[in-house]
Amino acid sequence: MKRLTIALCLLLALSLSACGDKGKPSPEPSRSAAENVDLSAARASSPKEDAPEPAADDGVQADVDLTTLSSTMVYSEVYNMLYANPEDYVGKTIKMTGTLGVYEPIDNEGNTIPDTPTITACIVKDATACCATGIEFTPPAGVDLPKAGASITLVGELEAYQDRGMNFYRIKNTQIL
Amino acid sequence: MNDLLATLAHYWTYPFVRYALVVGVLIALCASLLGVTLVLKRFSFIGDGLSHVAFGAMAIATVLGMTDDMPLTLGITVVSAILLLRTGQNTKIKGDAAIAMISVGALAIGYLLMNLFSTSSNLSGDVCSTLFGSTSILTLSQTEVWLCVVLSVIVVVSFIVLYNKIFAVTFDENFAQAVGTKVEGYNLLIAILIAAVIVLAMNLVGSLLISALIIFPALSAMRIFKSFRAVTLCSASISVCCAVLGMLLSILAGTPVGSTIVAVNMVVFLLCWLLGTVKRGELL
Amino acid sequence: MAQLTCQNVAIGYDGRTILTNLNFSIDAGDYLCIVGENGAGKSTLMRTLLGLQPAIGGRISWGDGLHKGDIGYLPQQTLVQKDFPASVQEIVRSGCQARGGWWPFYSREDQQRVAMAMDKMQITPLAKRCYRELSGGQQQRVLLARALCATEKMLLLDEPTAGLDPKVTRELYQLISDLNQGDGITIVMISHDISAATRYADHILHIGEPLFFGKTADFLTQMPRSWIGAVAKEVNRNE
Repeated sequence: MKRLTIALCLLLALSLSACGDKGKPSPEPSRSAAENVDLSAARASSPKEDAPEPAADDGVQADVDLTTLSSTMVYSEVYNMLYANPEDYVGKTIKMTGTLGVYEPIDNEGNTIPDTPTITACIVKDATACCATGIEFTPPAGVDLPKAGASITLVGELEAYQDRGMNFYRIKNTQIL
Repeated sequence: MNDLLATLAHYWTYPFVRYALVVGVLIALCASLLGVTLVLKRFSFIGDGLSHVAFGAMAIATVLGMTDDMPLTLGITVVSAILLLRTGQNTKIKGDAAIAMISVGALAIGYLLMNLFSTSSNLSGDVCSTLFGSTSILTLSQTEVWLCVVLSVIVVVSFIVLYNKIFAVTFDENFAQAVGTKVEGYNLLIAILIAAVIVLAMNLVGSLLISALIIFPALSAMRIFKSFRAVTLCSASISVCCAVLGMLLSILAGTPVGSTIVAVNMVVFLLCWLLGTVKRGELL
Repeated sequence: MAQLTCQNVAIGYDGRTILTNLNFSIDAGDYLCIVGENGAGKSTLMRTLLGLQPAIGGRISWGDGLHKGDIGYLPQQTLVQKDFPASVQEIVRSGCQARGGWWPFYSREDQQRVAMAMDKMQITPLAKRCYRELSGGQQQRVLLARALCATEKMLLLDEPTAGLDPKVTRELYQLISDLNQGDGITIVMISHDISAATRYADHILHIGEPLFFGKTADFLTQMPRSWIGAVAKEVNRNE
């Protein structure tokens, strides 16, 4: 019985170690000298402050780097940022990869109504691809955005704003990477 | 391996990951404990039946515009569990068609109601995440975590305290009743506990996959161990390990949480079955 | 004073009455065998006596210090049980389940009863074995030990030797007889085996045509000649 229990534990331990190469996005351990974006002063200590991720390929650092997380984590973290604990994230630099979503009010015939605000957002989907969430961002001036639905990586600071009495959140000072 | 540990350590800093692991472990523990009894009483389908009823109840709660659907879902599911399980061993054969009807009916009515009356912007997404669990486990609020902890503690403590009676009622209801044990009372208690666990477990693996949490660990344990106590303890350990492993894998690899946990459970079942066969072979 | 008395009892199930006008009483230390055709109502009678189903009419009364819950029961095995992952000790121990009342754990006294019961049934070496690995005869002895844990006064056995081979059957009957003669436990047993019934029991209750209750000797003399002829032949052959 004792031998059996040990064997069982070994088996479980083995299966745990065997998942080392499951294709997860591993953070690059190399801290090669790279240009640093001038991070805003909002790196004040907070109970959930994450240590900034080691530099990714493009060398841009951010307080909250979603590009190194798996899709399950990204979805959950965005949900966390926008719905559960937005106050902890306002003012921090966010870096994320997603698909570009462009939202414009349209009339009944499907034509864009002129002079109405267009909303651009970076959309992420969860693992089952049946749910999606995203963060709105203000597009940087003078930069051509790719087509709607294209993959996009951006970095910027999270801010809160009010519209019709409700709180919304979006990324400002956006830089498209 | 260092990469892996570093990543995991980093993920641990996220509160929702911690909540998910705590809740996942507790749910897996409760489901597996009750699962041993249900599998042995040949009530394995109860998990499926009740989870579909819970889905229907959730749909009703959504349609009625409730912000917190837990009380109504819990209430309806508990009542259904009592109705389905109250007759115990002796009339279950007559009941299996009734259970199938209720289960499928609840699923259909639930989806129909949501389609007709829901104002949600992503209906199929809501339905999908209720049925398959999606990332609900990773988007829990603190209240939900506390609720889960309290319910789990109640379930585990009840199980430990009433262990001998649960064994007696599972092994032989006729004998238990003949010597004066209140069999109906214990069946009722088991029904209520399993309903509560199922409603909680919908967050972890979704409606459709709950049966896996209930059945697989018990079956795996029964392949290897010979006494009820060993089977119960093994079932609980396997369930907890698989849940943790499944959740970590899904977080690292970006796969759906529910399906990953069930897949891990299946692999462990196959391993246990092999182990059991080898062990018996050696004895012969 | 009789331990168990049935007065004009009528039994049945699902609204159907299958037997009426049952009158018999059992004293402490008796060995009663209930015999009859299939479907005559033997198991129903036993379940009614145990309170598992209500009597349709009449009165069942307990006396001589015996209450309803103070009886050991050996029911027919279900398929589920034959495949149950439990050790022999756990099963025998479950016989003590009602002794503690609301207290959910087993006491030292319970453990001692278990040891004694297993010893009487000669299954102590099997204590840690898995129930589903045992032979039919061993399983019955385990269940009998469990029934013993629940009582010191009366045992109700529902066809304990069903499906067992002759040697094992004889051993089991001997064990039961020892419990009756040696420990003074009242035995009420349903059996298909008339020859064993007439050999071991001191009272017979025959359910069916004709309804008979009385001492074994009277049973052998009062039953129809043709019927008895067949039984007597069997008795002689097995002697």
